[in-house]
Amino acid sequence: MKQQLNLLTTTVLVIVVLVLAACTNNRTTALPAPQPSTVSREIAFSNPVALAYHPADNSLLKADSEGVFRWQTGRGWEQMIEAQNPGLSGIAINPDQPAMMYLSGPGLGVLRSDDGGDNWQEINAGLPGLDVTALAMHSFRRDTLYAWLINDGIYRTEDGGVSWKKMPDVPIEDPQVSGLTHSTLEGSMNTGWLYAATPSGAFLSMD
Amino acid sequence: MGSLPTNTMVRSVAVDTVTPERVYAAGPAGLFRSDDAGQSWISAGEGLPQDPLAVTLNPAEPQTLFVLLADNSVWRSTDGAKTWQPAE
Repeated sequence: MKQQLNLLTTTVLVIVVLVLAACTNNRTTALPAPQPSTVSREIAFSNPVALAYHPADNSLLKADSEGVFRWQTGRGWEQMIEAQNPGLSGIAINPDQPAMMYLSGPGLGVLRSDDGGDNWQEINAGLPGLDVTALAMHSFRRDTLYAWLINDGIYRTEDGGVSWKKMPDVPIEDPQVSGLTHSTLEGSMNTGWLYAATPSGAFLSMD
Repeated sequence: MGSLPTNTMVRSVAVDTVTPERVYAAGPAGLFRSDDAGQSWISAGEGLPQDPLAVTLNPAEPQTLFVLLADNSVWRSTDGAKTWQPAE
């Protein structure tokens, strides 16, 4: 009887350890809770998804309404980060330092991680609101990023998110911007151009 | 500033890092490629079974592109969107 009890206790302990190990392996990072957003419903309705190439291991990262997912050859999609409703709108990776990543979301503003996505800090100084629906990194200035604040315009940081300033006179015709992409195309009075993806087409603006 | 592809929903844009005149646009109408910074567009989604939700590329090898389809599958092109294969 005592031997059976010992066997049962050992079995239970092994199961508990295995379950705990499985939970640890599948651990995902949780982001801060988003602030109430006036545009959550329309953003959620448009089901935004942002895709980024991760140069460290040739993987892809996807940011969408549920969080951040990593795709790798032979492994498919695995969730890295959980996001609360209404989710995420943009993702940017520093190609020179891939552990440095940025996320955006309506109600969240912009978040930055310096450790590959384990820890995130909110970097919203200078943003008058948090409803960011698109995010882009400059093609070669790694501390320069652009965020689209819905019903407002494009904001730019040149110091990795320490401070943001609104860009003057950016004439994007459709305010429902779901993606921003920087280009080094010649002809700009600045360092390049920004493409804005919208429901009525893609628009080009100086950076 | 110009509109491209005109009056067509675009969900994401990718720019060739070596030849910035080459631009890709993904959306419910399909995948498009421009070789003149968006003044004219051609369809670049031949071989894709669905319209793409998003497009991105490897900045070190911009001929290598990835698109995400609605069924969550990833398709890859290694020739600037001329041909596509499922990435598994």
